[in-house]
This record gives sequence, structure tokens and C-alpha cells, in this order.
Amino acid sequence: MRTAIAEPRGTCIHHGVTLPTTGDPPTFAECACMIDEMRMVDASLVHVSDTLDGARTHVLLVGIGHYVHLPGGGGEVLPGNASLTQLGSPPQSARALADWFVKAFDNPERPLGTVSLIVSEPSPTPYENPATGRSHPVPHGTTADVRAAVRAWASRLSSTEDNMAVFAFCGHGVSQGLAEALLLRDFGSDPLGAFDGAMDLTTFKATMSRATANTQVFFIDACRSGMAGLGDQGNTGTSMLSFGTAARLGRGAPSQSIHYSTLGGSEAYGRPGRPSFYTEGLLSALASAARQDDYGDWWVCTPDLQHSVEVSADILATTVNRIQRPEMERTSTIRLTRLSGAPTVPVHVRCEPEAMIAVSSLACRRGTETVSVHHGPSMPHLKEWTMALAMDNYEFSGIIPSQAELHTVTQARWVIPPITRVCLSVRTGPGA
Amino acid sequence: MTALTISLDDSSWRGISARVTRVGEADGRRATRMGSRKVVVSAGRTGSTSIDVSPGEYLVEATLPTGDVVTGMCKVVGDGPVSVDIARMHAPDGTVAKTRIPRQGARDFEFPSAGGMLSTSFLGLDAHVAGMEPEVFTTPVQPRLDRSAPPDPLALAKHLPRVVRPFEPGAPDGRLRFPMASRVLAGADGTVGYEMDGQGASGAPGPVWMEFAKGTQVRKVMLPLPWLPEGETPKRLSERSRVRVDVAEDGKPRVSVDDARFGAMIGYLTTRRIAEARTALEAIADDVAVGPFPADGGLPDAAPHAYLAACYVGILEQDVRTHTWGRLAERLHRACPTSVDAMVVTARYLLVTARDTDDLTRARSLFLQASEGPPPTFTIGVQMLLDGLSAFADEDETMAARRTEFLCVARSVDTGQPFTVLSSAPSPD
Repeated sequence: MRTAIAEPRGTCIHHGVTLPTTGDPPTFAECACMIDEMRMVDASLVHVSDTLDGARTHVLLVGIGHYVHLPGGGGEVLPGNASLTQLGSPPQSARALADWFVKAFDNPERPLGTVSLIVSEPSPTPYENPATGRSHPVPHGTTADVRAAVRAWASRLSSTEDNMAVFAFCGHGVSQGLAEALLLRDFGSDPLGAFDGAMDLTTFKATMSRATANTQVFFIDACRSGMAGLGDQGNTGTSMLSFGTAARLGRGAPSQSIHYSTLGGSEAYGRPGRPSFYTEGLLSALASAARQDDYGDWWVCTPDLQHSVEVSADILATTVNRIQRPEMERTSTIRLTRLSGAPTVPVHVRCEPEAMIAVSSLACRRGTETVSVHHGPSMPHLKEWTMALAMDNYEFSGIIPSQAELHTVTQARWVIPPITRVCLSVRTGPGA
Repeated sequence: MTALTISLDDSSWRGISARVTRVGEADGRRATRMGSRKVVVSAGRTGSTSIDVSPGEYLVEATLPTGDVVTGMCKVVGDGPVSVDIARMHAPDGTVAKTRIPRQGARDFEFPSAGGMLSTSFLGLDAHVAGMEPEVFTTPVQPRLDRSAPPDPLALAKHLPRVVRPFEPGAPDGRLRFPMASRVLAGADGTVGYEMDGQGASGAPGPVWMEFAKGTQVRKVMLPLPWLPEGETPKRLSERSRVRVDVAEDGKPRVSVDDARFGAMIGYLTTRRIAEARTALEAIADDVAVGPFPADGGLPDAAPHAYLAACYVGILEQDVRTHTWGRLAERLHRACPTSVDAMVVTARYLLVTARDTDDLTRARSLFLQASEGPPPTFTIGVQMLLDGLSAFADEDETMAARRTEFLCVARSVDTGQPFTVLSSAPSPD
């Protein structure tokens, strides 16, 4: 039995299809606009493709910045967790990723099916879909919200094993050894069971290995530092899904690529009001970390993506004097998205001695054309020059002071994706 | 007084302890012990320890890392220095089994009271301490097992203490009680020697634990001995495996591997460097197909750990030869049914490639069996075991309860280490 659409009949503002003025509520066939009907079942949906036939990519993005029971959250504060604060970056990260998937994701093998978004922020703001212009309120990130969204997402993924699952989380995360939890908006609502307000990531990953979809990509942008109480009495958070062990009988394990924004036991960083360092690096990598396949198409595959984001997130974190090393837990090679053409390549140039970058200059030339000139580092605290260049052969020329002399160091290098790193070294002494 | 120099020209170990006992005639009886001194002897051509002794006959008893004790006599007659090389006290065929000094009785575990760097080579059979004043502390070894009885995996596994206990909230004093322990003597010159109680680890299959403390941080390092087949000794296996575990000043173990393929596996298990691991998987798969496996189904001679690591990596990464790794895992499991690692990796293979419920039933049984023993030697094994228990927990109360129990171990694991390292306190960083 179909669920009636609540909106009045008329012109579908999504597709501009004029609907009959009388009769039953519109159907998919009438307006090809499924999102309103589907949102009645899954309020986290912010984008639905015109058709969900065949293999599709279903994306679930969770950004938890506002924690009701942490200091400043407005609720009764969970004692003993002074190090956990409100976060400004996760909502921006989740929205930025949603925008990218809606606007830029291109996978002809598994086209975009749906994008779901959950955002916890102090003042809930609807998400404006950049493709349709429609504004959608999104769930606020309580455990119930996330569980409902995860289950609906998993249900959509189960339509065919050729689907691709993409899950991304940005917010507080904690880990103790192999026990990992992602903290949700209502974390700490029950002081006696604080982790009831968390997502059990350990179990979630294991459970997803029995999900129908054969291709799964996870981005976990959260701290992985320890927290007392995690795992006490076996409580590592709420299990969001449950599949029987027989769910994949005869089909082997799915390909999983699990990307973390930081190493186990370490912290991840962001800046209020802007996407996190990892998300910025991820978005940059999604636009550039591509390789050409046998047919000449440029594809961003997960290992290259990881390599690129490792460099860029780490470099971004150095701008606030932090170290952040993303890592990968599963390394299945998954073709995530295709680029429309050859990518612009992130280029990172450093000099030795490193400290001299503040008083050094760099010129980058392609043939006789000077394409980039830098004096001092590209950003404060950064110990590199960064730029984005088209693939080609370049000459990098640095003027670097060392031992009371100015040295000109030049290197000719091919700039090739996924990322190109150059070191201009002033070597002194024998053999230099 | 005359200098008696005791040396150990053997690079197999870094140092050992020795007891120098003056023997002589007293009351007309020969070989009466007339007081002894314990010394620590560092190994290598430049490593030696000198003590001043008065003329007489001396019995030098060296406790080898294997738990064996070798003895030698020397005579100090005048002012000229006298040297004894413990390595030459070995039997000509290279074996060291001569005399055993069994000392029964339980002894409480004691933590070292000082900080500093403690490094231990594979199996913890020799060690190196820097910046430590001489002191005695203990480290656990496994109890001796009765090798005359047929091997029972569970019985063997249960000989090891359940490591969850010291880390469970509310443990009486947070300390383990070990049925047997070995004493370690730390020398000011940066060397330690071991004095093994009982028969040491030489007869015991399964993982060997060592425990180190720095401040309030206590780390248990599972030294990579995933199996010990009948007739094998830890020392021989350690030499074949080409693994070395050092515990550095920050208390964290550092693993080095003198085998390219195994090194590639370790690289994957620590930093997920997949490219080298894939190349190594290919080479190991060739070995499995045509290589050096003994006809009796035992383990290959060189770097046997690499084969187990390949199973872990190949099955985790769904390598194209997944079934090769699955068959190898089963083979390892058959070759050494006591190996928890072999149980876990076999169970994982059965779970992810299950074609029918029989496969799932067997996987469940192996996961359950593995959870009753000590944790797997490899960190990835701990993760696979946790995942396996979690997979069945939704539909099986026994497995759910076991998962909860095992979580105590899993949450103490240092995920950055290839071999299982448990910590009783959060990492300082």
C-alpha cells in the first residue's frame, strides 16, 4: 500500500511536472519525484535520484556538532568528560560532503541513488539541495534518528548486491583498543548508560560486512582517543543494525574501504564554522586523486584517495600546530567517482632546511611561463608551498638562504596525480 | 685477587645471568659450595663481565633463555686473569639441553619499580635494559606442560592465565598471579639476564607473555609465538621466524623482522601498506603451491610466521587467492590445533566464505574455542575474533556473553602494534 503524499497536488517543484488537479496523490511515474514520499519513511533523505533502478550509490552522512549533555549543550551535563566540548566543524563537514555528492559525484557504474543527512547543530538549519534548490529539514542526530536513518539506508542498499554504500561520520569519537564508538547528539543523556547515546562502530563495521551491498566505503572523521567507561559491561554504544550470519551465504565478503581521519589513539581536528581538516583534504582528494583507467577515464579510487588525503589533512593540521595522520583500515580498491577530465594535481613543495621557508621564495615555471610564485609559506605555520597545477612538466626553482648564502635550487618534475611532492634541498658539505 | 672474566660470545642472546660459585674441599668433602655470586653477562665479542675472585675452583652456572642451565668449571690459580666463555659450555652439537633446575611453587608477579628502556628479543628470552640500576624483577613465563599427554587445545590454552582478569574493573589488586615466573636480573651495564624457574618455556606451546611497567602504565606484550608444534622449541622457532620485539623507553614495543615477506605483512598490519603486502602474498602463495612445506603437513622451515600473517592479510583483504589462504589456515590449524591464531583465521575464512550453515556452525565453534584461550598473537587476530563473536552475538546468547567478556581484552589492545599488546592503562598519548 502506498503512502499518500502530504503536499497539495499541482506542479512538482522538483521536476516542474504539472500534475493532474484531481484524483489520487501523484505517483512516481507522474512526477518522478520520489523524495517527498520517501522522506515520510526516512526523514534524513535530502536527495533522491530520478530512478533507483539497478546498481546505485546510497550515501549516509552524519555530522554531530551539538552535544546536549556536554558543556554548553543546554542539557544536564554529563560529569567527568570535561575534555569533550561542543564542535563547530562537523555540521559544516557533513553539509560540504552532501553538496559534493549531490553536485559532483559521478559513478556511471553505480550512479548516485540517495543522499541522507543528519546534522546536530545548536540552531537546526534545513539543508538546501544544490541540485534541486529544495530545502529539507534534517534529523538532529539523536541515537533514534541515526538508528532510523541507518536502517533505512541499509534497506535501500539491500535492493541489489551491486549497490555501493557510503557512510561518513564527523563528530566526537572515542576508542579503547579495538572498541570504538561515535558519540551522538544525546550522548550522556543517561549518566548511567552514557554510551547508549553513541554508535557502536566496532559492531557496525562487522555488521556491514554481512550487508547485501558488495561495495562499501566508510569515512570516519573523529577522534580515536581513549575514554573511560567505553566497553564497561560490554557497552560500546548502540548497535544500529543486525544481520544474521547467514545473510551473505555463498557470496563471500563485501569489499570495504574504511578511512579514518586519524590514527588509533589520536585526535582529529577542525575549525569552528568550517569543514574539518580531514573533510577539506577529502574534498580536495575527491577532485584530484584520480588515475586514468584503460578506457581513458579518470577515476578516484580509494587507495589513491587515501594517499592524497593523508598528505593534505596532515598538512592542514600543521597550520594549527597539530599532527593528524589519517589511516585506512580496509584497503579494498573501490572506484568511487569519475572526474570529467584530467585532474588538477595538488603539489606540495618543501625546502631543506625546512626552517628557511619563511625567508625563501619559490617560482614554478612551465616552459617559459611562470605559473606560480611564492614568498614564504602558503599559509602561516605551514612548512610547505602548496599549489594546484595541471599535469605537465614543471621547473621548481627555490631561492633558499642557508649558512649566510642564498642558494638557488632547481628541480624539473612531472606533476602527476594523485599528488606530487617536491623537496628543494640545500645540501652543504662534502658530496653536496 | 684475580679477575675472572665471564663472556658470552654468542649473538643469539643479548645477555644471560650466571652464578659463580666457589667450590672446594671443606670437611674433607669435595665440591662443597662456598658462597656464590650472581652476575649478568652481556653477549657478543665485546661483552663480558669480570669479577674479582680469590684463587680456587669455581663453578659457573649459566641459566640460558631456554630455561636450560649449562655449567662449567674453571680454576683460578694465581694472579693471571682467567676467562670462561659460556657459549663454549654448550654441547658440541649446538644443543643446550644439559641440566635443568626445576623449582616448583607459585610466585607472585612483581612489577619492576624503575623506569628506563627495556628491550627484549623475540620470545623475551633475552633482554636489554638501559638506565636501570641493578635490580631484580620478574616476568611471567608459561607453566610447564606435560608433553607425555596427548595435546588438548583447550587444556593447553587454559594453562595460560586469562589475561582479562588483571584488567577487569575491580580486580583485587590489579596484578596477575602466575603459577610460575622467571626472575630477571638487570645489570647496570645495560644487560639483563634471566633466571628461569621451572623448566622455562621450552616445552610450552602457545603464546608467551611478558609484562613491562613504566610508572602506572603496564604493558603486556604477547611475544609472537603463535604455535609450537611437537618437537619444536621456542628458541628454534624464534630463530626461524626472524622476529625481534624491543620494548623501547616509552614502554611501547618495536617489532623488527629480518624477512622481507614477513616484513611486508607486518608493514600492512601496522600501517596498511598494501602494495608490498600484495607482492609478498604472491610470493607466499607460490610457496604454498610448490614451496617448502614439509610433506607431513608441518610448518615451513623459514619464517613460518609469515604464512600465518599471509592468511590474516589475504583473508582480510579478500585477496584473489582467498581460498588459498583459507586452505593454508586450515592446514596450520591442523598442524597446531593449540594455535589460537590458526583457529581465528580459519574461523574468519569459514565465516566470510560460508556456503552453507555447516560452515557457519564450524566457524562459530572455532571462534568460541578461540575465545576460551589466550588472545591471538596477532592484533588483527584479536580484531577478527571480536568481529566473529559480534557476528554471532545477535543470534546467540552464548556468543553475546563471550563477546562481552572478550571486549575486556579487545579494548586493552594497542591497535598500532602487529602483535598483541595489552595495556592496563590508557596510552599516555
